[in-house]
Amino acid sequence: MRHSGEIAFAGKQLSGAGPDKAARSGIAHVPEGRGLFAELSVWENLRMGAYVRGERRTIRQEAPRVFEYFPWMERRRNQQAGTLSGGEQQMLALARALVARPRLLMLDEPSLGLAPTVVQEIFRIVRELNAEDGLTVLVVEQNANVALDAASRAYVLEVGQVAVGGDSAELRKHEGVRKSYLGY
Amino acid sequence: MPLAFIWSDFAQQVTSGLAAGAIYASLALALVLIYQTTNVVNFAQGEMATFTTFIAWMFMDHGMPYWPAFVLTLLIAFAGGVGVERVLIRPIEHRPEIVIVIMTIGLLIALNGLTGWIWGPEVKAFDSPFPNRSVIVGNVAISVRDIGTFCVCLGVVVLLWLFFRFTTLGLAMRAVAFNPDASRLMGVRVGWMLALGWGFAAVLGAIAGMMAAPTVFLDPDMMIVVLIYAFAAAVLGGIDSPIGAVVGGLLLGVVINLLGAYVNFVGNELRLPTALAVLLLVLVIRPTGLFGRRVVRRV
Repeated sequence: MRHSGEIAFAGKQLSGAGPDKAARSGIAHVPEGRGLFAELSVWENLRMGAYVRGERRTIRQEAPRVFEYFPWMERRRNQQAGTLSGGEQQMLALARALVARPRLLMLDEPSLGLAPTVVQEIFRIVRELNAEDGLTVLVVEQNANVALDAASRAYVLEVGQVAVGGDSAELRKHEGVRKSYLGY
Repeated sequence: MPLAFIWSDFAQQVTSGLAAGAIYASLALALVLIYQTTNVVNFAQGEMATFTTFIAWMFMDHGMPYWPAFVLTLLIAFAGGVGVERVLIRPIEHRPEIVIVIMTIGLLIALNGLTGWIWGPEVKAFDSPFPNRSVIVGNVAISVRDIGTFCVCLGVVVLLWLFFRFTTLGLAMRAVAFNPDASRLMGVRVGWMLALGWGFAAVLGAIAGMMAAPTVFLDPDMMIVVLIYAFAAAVLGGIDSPIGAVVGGLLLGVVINLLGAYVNFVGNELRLPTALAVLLLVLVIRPTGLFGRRVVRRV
């Protein structure tokens, strides 16, 4: 595949560097499929989230904050991550990303395969993180309705090109977007 | 024949089986450490162990006392293991597994030749740090050397377990073994974790080599048989289970020793085929071994 251009984050070049470099520069990425350590416990997954910023100190500082968002995790910290339900796994992946205190949180298809109520819950938390902690979040999402609700800015990608982009509220009014993605 | 005598003889066979088993367990654990991250069996594990044992012999031959030579050898083994991964395995890590397997077989042959070339093919005596006498517990005579071997091997296994269980680096290494892609997203330098794994495996091998050498004597081929026992132990325990490797090693050591002592037709010559039979039986009846990983997943 031919590609050109560059990727920079906060003034630092990331093009060609591995994902570990991106993580160390403050980007937390929750991949499609979540990328949990299924064989490790809930707590060990969270500890891995803290790895990038010095595991021991970071997990001690960040765990209480994360447990505030997800109280069930504290009670079930020793459960094997692979035995959690799909929604719980998505929340754990999100929590693990938050432990790193990222400057940018990237969520890839967070709603994939989850029940609507769980999707609502996850996006509620994402909105809260954005509003209260000022966390920058980049979400790639098929569910346009949910995504437009949460986002302040949105882009529609068609075959790798930005087809439409702008303020979420305006994009909602855009006729093409409405017909193709929102279904009304 | 009085019953007490038979009992003490049995106990004696068990304890010396445990000592041999601890050596198999160390080498089996080395195999598992590498298998977990690279999905290949490191066929050169035995020769790496032999090579490092010769280094220890060289130090002692130059007059260095046992324990300093022991520690120095472990450090060299660690560096050597890391080096092998960085130089030989790294360039081919994304190639099909068979390519890596062939690389380890190549390394086996090369190291075997190199050992013979540097130190000569003749058999050498290798000192044990433990006296060759027995202590009587109850009416069972237990060889001090067996106790020492067992404690050194199992002590290192316990240290390693503590490392993996309680340190950040240990957690990261486990994470890499389970999911390297996700580990990268956590900021882990996966390549270095793999190299560390090879380093630890080489250390375990060196310990197995140095503990085996006083009994089997030091020559370039000394670990070939031990490696086969270690294979059998690792497969018996479950090739991806560290606990399995240790339990499998101890079990195999005891069973083979008892079979050799009590089942007439087994004797000394048939010990190795017995180990291979165990290997075969496990693969046929329970391919995941005693502790093999069955991942529980809910999607």
